[in-house]
Amino acid sequence: MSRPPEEGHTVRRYDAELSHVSMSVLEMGGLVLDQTQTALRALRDQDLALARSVVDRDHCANELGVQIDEELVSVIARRGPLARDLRMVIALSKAVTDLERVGDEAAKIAGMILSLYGQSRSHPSTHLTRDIYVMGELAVGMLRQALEAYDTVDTEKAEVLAFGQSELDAEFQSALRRQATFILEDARTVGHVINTVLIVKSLERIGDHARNLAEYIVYMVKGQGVRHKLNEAKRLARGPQEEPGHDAREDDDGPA
Amino acid sequence: MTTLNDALGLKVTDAEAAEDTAVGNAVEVRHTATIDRDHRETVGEIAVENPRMVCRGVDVFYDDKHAIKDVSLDVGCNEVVAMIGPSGCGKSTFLRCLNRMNDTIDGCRVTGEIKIDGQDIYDKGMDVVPLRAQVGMVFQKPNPFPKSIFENVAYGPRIHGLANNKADLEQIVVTSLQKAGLWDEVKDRLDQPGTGLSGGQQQRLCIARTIAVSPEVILMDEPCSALDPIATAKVEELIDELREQYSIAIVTHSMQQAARVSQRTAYFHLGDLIEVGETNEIFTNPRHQLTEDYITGRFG
Repeated sequence: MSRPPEEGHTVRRYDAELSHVSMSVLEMGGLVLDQTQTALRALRDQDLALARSVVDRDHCANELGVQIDEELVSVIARRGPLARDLRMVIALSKAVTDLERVGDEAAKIAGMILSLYGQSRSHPSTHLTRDIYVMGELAVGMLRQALEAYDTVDTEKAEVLAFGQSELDAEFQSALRRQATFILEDARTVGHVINTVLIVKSLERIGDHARNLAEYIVYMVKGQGVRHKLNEAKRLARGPQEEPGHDAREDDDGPA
Repeated sequence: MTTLNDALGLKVTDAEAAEDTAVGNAVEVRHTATIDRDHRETVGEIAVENPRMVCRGVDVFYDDKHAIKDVSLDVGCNEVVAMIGPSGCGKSTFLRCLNRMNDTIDGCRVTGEIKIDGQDIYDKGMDVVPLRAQVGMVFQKPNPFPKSIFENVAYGPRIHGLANNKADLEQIVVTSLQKAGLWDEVKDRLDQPGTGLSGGQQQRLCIARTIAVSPEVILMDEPCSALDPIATAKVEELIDELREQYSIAIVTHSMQQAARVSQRTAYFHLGDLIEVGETNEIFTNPRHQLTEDYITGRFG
């Protein structure tokens, strides 16, 4: 055949299928990124209708996720993908799960905004919600980076994201401390603080999902050993004497 | 629906969008293997801890044609080595070197070193008849002798003088048919012609015939390509069982089969041994770009 080998599979239909499914994953990424951004905009503008639209649209990403899963199963059944194709299919399948969760978190945030502003009682002060903006920007940035790294197959970017220091995690810890002081100062803020904490927790989760996505990109391109390498690096960083601590990225709570 | 570009606030012109669709490979991972196509030295570990056969620097010529180029590879005890590669890559030629089946081809010249249990099989003093009992072979098309099922299996032990009396011989035939997983299917018709069996049964009969002369190594040249999936599954199951007693080298065009039956896989390309490795590694994360092109179906 006239095509050089790197141009694609001998069976072109196979290329088309893989390409379609990976574009769908990107589309799903775009969708949940938009959901997250919209939820944060609804908070900034105190726009309850906008928040409600996020909740209402949550099913779109989930449906796309189901469709992608079906396509992936079909590729496995019919094409028997191997080597990088196999890694790609596995990575995409995992990415779908994380993206679905991001969408769920965005919907949760939107729901929380409805309960923050939707009731007759007083609205939270801007001191309280400041943490959400800061963390929101970081989480959206991470998700955007993950999707860009995926779009351009940029493993360097993905590695930095997956294995680098997370500003978001640090910010989350200090946000929790700040929120606690709000309750100590004025116990009546407790309802708002709870909602705020739930939102920043969701944002922290979104950051974790973004890091997972980045990890899948590295796996897709470079092959096995990524997760192991990460755990090893963590272990070394912690030093031998310390017990393995709680790591939010390891526990997978199901979609709400 | 909102796409990534919308969400990222990127403006995509219609022309760019059309190009994306036309190329259709926006997220295609390219060149993930680290060793590029021009590299010709074998990648991976050719040696094993516990070798049965050791091949070093083997070259094969058919007249002027250089069919195998400086190939070194071990066949370990109790392992299945799969040899894969496109047609004409030399995998069958290499397999046939292992019991000197190439001797019968005019103009074929083999150089280099091939040893079984430390003994050079191309040594002047080497008798090929016992060698071919020691290193048995199963072919693509089942080729039973036009004799009874019993005689098909008994022939080898008889000419190699492995049985002292009739009872011995019968015992060898029964054991061989049992090992080949064929006994229950043929025990009531041992006197009927082997050619009357189904294709899958004939192939297992040929395997029984090979086993009957107590080989150390069994070479298989596409043993399942003439069989249906059920007969293939039976032969593959048999290969897995035989591994406990023999060393097996198998040439196959079916990558799925190589992945299923072997512990190590060797990829040949135009006479070069390109890459050898654990089967798992080869099929999930090959290091040579040519290996990856082949197993993912990207050869033009």
